[in-house]
Amino acid sequence: MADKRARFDQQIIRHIDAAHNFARWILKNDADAEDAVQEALIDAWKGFGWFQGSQDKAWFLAIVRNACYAQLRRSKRQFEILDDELVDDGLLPDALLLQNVEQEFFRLAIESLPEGYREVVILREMEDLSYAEISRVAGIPIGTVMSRLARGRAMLAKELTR
Amino acid sequence: MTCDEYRKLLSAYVDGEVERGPVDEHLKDCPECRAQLESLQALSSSVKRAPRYQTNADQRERFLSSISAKQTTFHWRSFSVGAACVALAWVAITYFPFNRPAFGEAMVQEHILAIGSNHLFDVASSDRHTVKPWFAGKVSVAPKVEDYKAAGFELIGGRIETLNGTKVPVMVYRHGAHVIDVFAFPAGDKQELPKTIRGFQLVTWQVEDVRYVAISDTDRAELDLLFRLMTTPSRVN
Repeated sequence: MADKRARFDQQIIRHIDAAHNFARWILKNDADAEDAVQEALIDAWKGFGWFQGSQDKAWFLAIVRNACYAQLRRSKRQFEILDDELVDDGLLPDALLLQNVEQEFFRLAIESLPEGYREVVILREMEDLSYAEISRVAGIPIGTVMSRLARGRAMLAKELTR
Repeated sequence: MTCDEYRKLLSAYVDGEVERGPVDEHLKDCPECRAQLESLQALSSSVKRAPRYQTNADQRERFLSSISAKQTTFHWRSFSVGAACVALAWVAITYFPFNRPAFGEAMVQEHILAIGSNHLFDVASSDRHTVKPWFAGKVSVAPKVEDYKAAGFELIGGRIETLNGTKVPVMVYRHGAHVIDVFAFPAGDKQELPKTIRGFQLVTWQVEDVRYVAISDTDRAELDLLFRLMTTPSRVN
């Protein structure tokens, strides 16, 4: 038992900050994010016996993501249907325009992305996960990770320079 | 491949997730795609710079207690009724906080969390004249706060943890690559803590009516050195 707790602390508890940041960006609300992390921690603790010991961050964030989506479903939100084809999204605005965007504006632009795009952008840029890890967290193929990131970035760039 | 086709790959290229060679070749000859790449890189670094949502001390406390609650239920069930009664009596007659078996454990958890979440201190300072007054009014003890940088123990800040419902000041020291937390409590009970908990070293001592517990993953000898420094009366007060 103590051993389980020690391993749990070493492998999972250290990702609490990442989990909380991720949940907050997905749910856009402090209280919901906190609830989701609580729920995820308990689920992770219960399921920890089955955890194989690799990719602990991705494993835990996948649980956090489940908790977040459960919250979204409870609030009866509609999910946007995403087109996951890798397509050309047109030209991006000039780099200079994208460099020094004000933080509040930036937050709003990221929050305006549909969840499916927002989550891959946050996981990639803020949590520094590889495509394979994002694929595991979001339960989508690597090709879809690639197309959603490309699309999400194009949408974000447009929103920022609107 | 046409420009359009390369453009679809640039996002994954920025992430280092496609074979670079062919894209590099194309970028050499195509200023338009280079400009697109720059835009993507600018966007990417802007998102990386965007503020993360930080987990504050209260939230960490709540997150942690949700796990401990799960654990506790299990423990109690595994206890015999007799042992539970003895434990209850023990808790009832002895004084906060060293009587709690989970107490050292709770401190170690706070230590791990502080390091893991990169939230080492609420007030950052190597100046005891900053840290000490910051504690004042927030906690019920006035611990000795000193910087021992010359001896290799640099005071880097202070924070407040809530343990068993009591707010406790923590002095944070850096020693080489290690972080040392020194918790301070009103002295009450002389009961000993374990010397190690899950690989972390614990050293405890008492000066006047304040009880200190130092926790770190550093060597025991190093912690003992800090203990000796902290129990040596300071020349200037």
